[in-house]
Amino acid sequence: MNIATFGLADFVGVFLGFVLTLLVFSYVLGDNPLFRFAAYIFIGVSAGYAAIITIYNVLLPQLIFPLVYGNSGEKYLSIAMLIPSLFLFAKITPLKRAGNWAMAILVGIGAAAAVGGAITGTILPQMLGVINSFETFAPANTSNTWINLLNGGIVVLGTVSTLIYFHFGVRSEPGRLPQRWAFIEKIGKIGQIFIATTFGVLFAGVYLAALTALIERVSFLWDFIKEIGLQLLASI
Amino acid sequence: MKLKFRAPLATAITIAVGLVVLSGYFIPAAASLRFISLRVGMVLAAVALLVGVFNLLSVHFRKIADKDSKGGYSFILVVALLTTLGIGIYDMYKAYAFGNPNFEWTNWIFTYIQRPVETSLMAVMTVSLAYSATYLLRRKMNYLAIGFFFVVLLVLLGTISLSVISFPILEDIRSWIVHVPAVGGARGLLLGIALGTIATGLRIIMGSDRPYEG
Repeated sequence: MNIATFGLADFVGVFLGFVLTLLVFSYVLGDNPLFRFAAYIFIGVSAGYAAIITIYNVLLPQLIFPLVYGNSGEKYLSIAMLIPSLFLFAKITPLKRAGNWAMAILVGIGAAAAVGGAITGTILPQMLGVINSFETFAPANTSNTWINLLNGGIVVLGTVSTLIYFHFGVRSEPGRLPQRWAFIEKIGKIGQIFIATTFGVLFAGVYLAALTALIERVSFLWDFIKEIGLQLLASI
Repeated sequence: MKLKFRAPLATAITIAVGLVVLSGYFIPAAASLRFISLRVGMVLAAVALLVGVFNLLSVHFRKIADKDSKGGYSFILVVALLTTLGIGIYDMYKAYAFGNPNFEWTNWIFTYIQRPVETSLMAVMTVSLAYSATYLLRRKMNYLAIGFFFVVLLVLLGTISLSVISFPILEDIRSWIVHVPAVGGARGLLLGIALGTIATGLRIIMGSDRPYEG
């Protein structure tokens, strides 16, 4: 942080960042009005920022400009998009049912895109990944075939047992409580171990990211106090 | 059996649009229809976001007007939102009117307000995650919880590289855990999520679930 290069706007911004960081850090002492003040500012700014990004990156180039400057085909498509867009605003008025059909278009497209995306973007690549886990190019595998077989076998066992753990189909017999098959139950127990391992790795990853953010913020606070705070004190 | 069939027009639209988009994934001739539909969906999703922002504003305006509720925080939120929106519209006007698309003041808000608060919230998570982890261990001490913490410690110790303390064996163990058993579990979880997404999506396309009613 070099304040010699700062303009007034940067100086005000850094001071604001310092104050907001302290307000958010006050949460360590428990939920309090100072933290809530920062949280409400954050929500307001985030919502406004998201709206601006949406208008500039999506609505203007995809809806408004084609409607004004586009050829006849683009104009028709823009009008076709504009009508349900206007009806969507009915959702925040007492006439909210008028917006149902526009919301239905959005939901239909979203559901179909989610189904297609899940098949082409998750199911097929993940299945390929499981198949390729025996190959030498898989991470953690070596040129040793037996190690690759062992690692690949563990990945397959982890994938299958985790999936089986989430199988909640039960067999119902008269006079007995519905129970999962004993085989499913046993494989599910192995699946639990893999799930705990995966969540452990994810937790450690998130914790490391949070730790990095903490180091960055503490470093910022220290720099601010050293560069600006001490100079202000000296000038007084 | 009494069938209650509500919102028939909206349901028919969802089924038709859903089938058109879905067929675009598997029938090459219908791919262009899928792209147009996805463009429409993108614009509608953007408008839905704006509707959400306006709804947020209206809810907090009501809270400010309501004398019984504490409207102070709502006032802060509304001021922050409207200021950001106003500055963003001014920057957009400058971008198009004067060909100056650097978004100077919007970037100022992002750099000096949004980023510090986001990073600080992430930093505070260090404390809340450590607290919740110890809470879990105190409440439910079983072999899975112990295994979970063992993995967390191994991965943390294997990742943090300090010049004074270096454990190459821990780095190897961490690499194996991350690339073999954790990958197996993660693939199972991802496949499960994808299967759940497909089931939910198909229920909506078939008209069994109608989340647009209301």
